[in-house]
Amino acid sequence: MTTLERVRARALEAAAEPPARPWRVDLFLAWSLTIGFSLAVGLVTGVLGAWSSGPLLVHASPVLLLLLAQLTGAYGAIAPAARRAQLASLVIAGAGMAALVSSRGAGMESASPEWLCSLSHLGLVAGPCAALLLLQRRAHLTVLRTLSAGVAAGSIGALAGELVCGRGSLHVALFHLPVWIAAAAFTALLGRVLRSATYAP
Amino acid sequence: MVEPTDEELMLRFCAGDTSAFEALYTRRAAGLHAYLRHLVRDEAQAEDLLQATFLSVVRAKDRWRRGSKVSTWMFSIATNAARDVLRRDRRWAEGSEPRQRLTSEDDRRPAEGLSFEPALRDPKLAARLETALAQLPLAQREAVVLHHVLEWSFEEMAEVLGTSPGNLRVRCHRAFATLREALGEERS
Repeated sequence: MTTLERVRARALEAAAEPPARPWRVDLFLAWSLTIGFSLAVGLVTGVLGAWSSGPLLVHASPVLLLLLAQLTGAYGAIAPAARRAQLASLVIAGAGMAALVSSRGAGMESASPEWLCSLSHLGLVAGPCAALLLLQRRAHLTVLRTLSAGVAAGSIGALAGELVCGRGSLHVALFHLPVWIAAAAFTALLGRVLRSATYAP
Repeated sequence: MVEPTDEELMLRFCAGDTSAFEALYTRRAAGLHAYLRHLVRDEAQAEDLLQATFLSVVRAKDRWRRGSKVSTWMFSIATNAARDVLRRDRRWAEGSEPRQRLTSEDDRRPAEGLSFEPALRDPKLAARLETALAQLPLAQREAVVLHHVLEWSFEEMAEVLGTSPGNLRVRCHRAFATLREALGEERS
């Protein structure tokens, strides 16, 4: 049996198997995960009265940018040949970071240690990062693709921080943004190690 | 009777027609196999990669976008697979079992795909050229094989390799300068 005959036999076997889940379903799941999780965090913290003073009105532009980063990031992570969306998610994330810092003033004092914000941020994004990585395994995992997933998942924590944390811009720059960047970088690093289920772009 | 295009076959396959996939395989497998053999220079690995390529085509058929060329999509998949394997190979190179590398005999084997031989009409020179080709960096090797062996345009190659046609022209130019130098040195 020649190489081409062997591969043909295996490929035809696979072709007869039931089709895999369409990528649009994966995209829907990714959007539900990121946007849904963000809305849930917003709702729960709102009900518990944990929002810092009127965040949605005061911080509308960073919140909108973060939601947009989630939409484009999740799309770039899952959709085929989505290089533009992947690049756009990075640009939007950068704009979101700038907005997060610039929309804060000196902020309020808080009794809790500053690193607690970083820890909460990390705790919030670990699950979504892992879930997005698993969802995107049916595509070839490039650095840009996994970075997009990290941006989308990491922005969930940034959004929670924007709603709940009332501290100033220096605190945001030192204890929130680095966690978001680290989450995106770690997701990209994991993507280099993980084997994707297919090599399709 | 007019042969269906790759795109028509792919549409039929996406609708569940396995015989359309078989036709696509018959049409594209040899070219993909030759491309992969040139990239990885390892018979067993080329076979694994060809299998991975077609399994990806089957399992991710919904990721092919209507209106785009099936051949460029398939070669993108093959390129991704080869890059991934070569990257992992580099990482685990130490302590791994030596693989069954292609020999110069394999290079001269009548192609289950394509080679430089028909163009050069000199088997020895073709074999030397193939050996020199193997010394090129992967990015240049991909470009040379697609453009000079498979005779793809720079625009088609740009879609497969995810870069600009201008960049690929530069890659080919540099690769040929290196090849010319290598063959010139051997002759002298």
